[in-house]
Amino acid sequence: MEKARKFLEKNEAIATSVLAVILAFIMVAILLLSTGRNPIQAFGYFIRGAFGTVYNFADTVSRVIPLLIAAIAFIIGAKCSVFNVGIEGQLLLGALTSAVIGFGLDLPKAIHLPLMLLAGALAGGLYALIPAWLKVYRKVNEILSTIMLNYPAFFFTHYIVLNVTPLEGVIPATPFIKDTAKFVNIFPGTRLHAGVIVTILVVILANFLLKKTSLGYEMRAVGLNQEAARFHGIPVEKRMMLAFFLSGCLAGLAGAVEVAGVHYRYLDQFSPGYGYDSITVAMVGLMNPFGAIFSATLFGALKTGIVDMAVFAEIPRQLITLINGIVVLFVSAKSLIRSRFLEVVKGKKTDALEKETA
Amino acid sequence: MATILEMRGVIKRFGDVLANDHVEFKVEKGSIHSIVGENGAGKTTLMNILYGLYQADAGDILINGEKVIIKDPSDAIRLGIGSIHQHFKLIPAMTVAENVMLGNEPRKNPFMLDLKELNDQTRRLSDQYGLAVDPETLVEDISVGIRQRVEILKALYRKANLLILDEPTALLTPQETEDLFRIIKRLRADGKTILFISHKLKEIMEISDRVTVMRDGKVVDTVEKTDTSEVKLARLMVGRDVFLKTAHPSKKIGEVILKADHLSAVSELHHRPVLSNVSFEVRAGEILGIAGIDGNGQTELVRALIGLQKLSEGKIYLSGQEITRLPVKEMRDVGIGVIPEDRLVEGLVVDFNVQENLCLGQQRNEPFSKNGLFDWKAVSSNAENLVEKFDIRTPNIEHLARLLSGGNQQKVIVAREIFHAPDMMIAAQPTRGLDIAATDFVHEELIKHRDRGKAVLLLSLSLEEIMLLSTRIAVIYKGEIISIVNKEDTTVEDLGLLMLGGSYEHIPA
Repeated sequence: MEKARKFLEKNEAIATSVLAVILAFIMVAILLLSTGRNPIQAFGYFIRGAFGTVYNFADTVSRVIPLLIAAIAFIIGAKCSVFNVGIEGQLLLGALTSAVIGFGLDLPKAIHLPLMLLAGALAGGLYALIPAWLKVYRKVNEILSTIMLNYPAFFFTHYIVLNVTPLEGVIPATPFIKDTAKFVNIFPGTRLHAGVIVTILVVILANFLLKKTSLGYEMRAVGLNQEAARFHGIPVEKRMMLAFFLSGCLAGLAGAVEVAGVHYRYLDQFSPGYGYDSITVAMVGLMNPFGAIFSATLFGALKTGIVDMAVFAEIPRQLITLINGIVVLFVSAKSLIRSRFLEVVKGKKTDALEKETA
Repeated sequence: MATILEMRGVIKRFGDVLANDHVEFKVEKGSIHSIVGENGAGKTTLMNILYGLYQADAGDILINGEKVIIKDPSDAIRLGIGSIHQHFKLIPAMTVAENVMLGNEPRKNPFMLDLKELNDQTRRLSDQYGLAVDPETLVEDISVGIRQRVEILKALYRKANLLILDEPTALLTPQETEDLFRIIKRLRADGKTILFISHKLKEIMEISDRVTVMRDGKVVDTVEKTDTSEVKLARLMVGRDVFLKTAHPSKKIGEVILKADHLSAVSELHHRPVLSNVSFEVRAGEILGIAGIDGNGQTELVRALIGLQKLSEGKIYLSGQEITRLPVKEMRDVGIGVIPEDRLVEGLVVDFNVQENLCLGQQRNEPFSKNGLFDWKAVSSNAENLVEKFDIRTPNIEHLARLLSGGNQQKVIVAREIFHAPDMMIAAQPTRGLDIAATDFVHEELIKHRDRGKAVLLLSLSLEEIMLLSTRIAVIYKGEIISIVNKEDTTVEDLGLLMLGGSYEHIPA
């Protein structure tokens, strides 16, 4: 018991995150019970739908890919005091740009796919430089500017697809990209593609940047205390610009990978809000690239598992949106959960007021 | 005399820490009773319990011999307890009178304030105790010392008989302190009881009737002022003999290390001049102390010297080389070390751990960085080394700096800066808020640095500290250096006058 307490105390951040998710599922269970459904059975369907068969699992992983890359985008920014809520917009622009490169150019595979991904990343990164400049040199709050800049991106891509790129068929989309620009499908019959390798690379590189380089040290210092960073010779403005740019690049890359691996074209309104979900994923993942793997898997599973749950447990769609919302809600209330949790584990209050100020 | 306040077996626990451990003492009505102790001895916790901000876990509080329960500050006020905080709780945009009456304003009718009555009452109260406060000025226009009096007025208006003054002199000049003491004595003469919280022994000896000494949450002793001395109190506080020592003088003064040549700067916010024509030199083997009241340009001077404050005019030289307008990083690399005035904001990244903090500023230099890669081995061995050498008390080097005590946080900063042996060390308020032992440590390190033939620039609000450490002393007033003298040629009183904008001509011989 004492050992377990010590362990929980040491890993309180992780424990809190897990607790938030568990609480969310308990809430969902209560909700299901109150509508006369069997939650155990429903969760059974959920798990089967997300992980039950190789095909389901592969599908879940394919959902995890954009979420995870986008979450890393958010983490890279947040670690350096940049709260990029514009990932959605940057992702759309990245996807469209990559699609244009994908269908517009004829190149050997060795060049075409990398170039397409690079172009997507750059598009996202450049778009992010607008709020970056506004934040760093004009003191405009980036949370507001990035949220607002999602709309121009959304309507711009919409306009391009409808009016500029050739329309094939009735679906508003660009033409299909060339085979040379596609990711190999790993599991025929599912959507799992070789983009998963890129994703793993992104996670590893992000972690490497933050933990193993002087640049990463500086970015984290800026994220935790700008004034101290400035005092110790870290060019705060440059680091924030860079963080914003990298964050935008990763957001764009997330879009490009979706195009190259799943849709093979830019499909208007293809993103079910990956950019927004990525923030929750990053938070549940404790702003840690490796932690994000777990939380992205959870949110990916929510997307696939819920389908089976809906069909077999006969749960209406609306309830499913609600489930998503409840999870997000509990995760956002994490700090509240954390203080209660610490009270229970340590047997003391953690109220800031309670700290000795003598 | 009657006992106005008695504490019996008061216990307060924060987690594993006993902040107050069976605290017992009595305060006599109409006396000035001091409570002294090092930082973390539990003084503030005890006062917060008395004022209803915390609840004691056990024990009794007796006011005028009756057991009372104080759940919140409004209970405390009802019982006649007033608290003048270290950090004032005033509204700058309101007048003195409005601040004093806030929450209890005299009204003509339910919707209108009686402004005349408001000002008259405040004036009467102010006159009664010789506070000399104008009720109609805005709080934002008055000095720190006067603001403190407004806080006292607030307590008096609420009919406080027992006034808690928590470190009231921390922000005051010597003159303001004297005025405050005069006011305190007048309050005593009027039958008020004063609880005076401090760790400055000199003041304690000057003002108190009785002294309660606390250490590690316990009351060590309560003594009559007449039966004790500074040295005795210090021993009780620290639990061992301390040397309120005088530093030995500079041995060998070498050539000029830092030269500030007519530095001027304006604030970015208000475009007001913050530095004007500041010139001085600091030589190898000496400590130049800069005395001054808070907010007279010290902050900007430090920032200018490390490249953070834009200069409108002037040049900075380090060992003859011009370094004006170099980026911060290069200023640091050519040999300027800095102990910033605010350790939590500028000195440390408190959410970094100890080892990360111990290489802050050097993150791009060997051995911590090789080809842009961060060498954690070098970082941790550097940290192990410094922790041992400077006796930094931390469970391990991966402990967050936030969780260290103030003294140990400062040790981290001092260790880091001293270790790189910069030719020029700038120490801004290096002992602010530190207790005796930690202050001693910082002083010793600065002296050692000086004796290694390096230059030290010391900015401090404490004249005692300036007098103790400096070889020469400059006084800064409204962004100007108005005098530079050898330590031997001046006194605390003279410096105090200069800090207020006086000049040597005004000082009676």
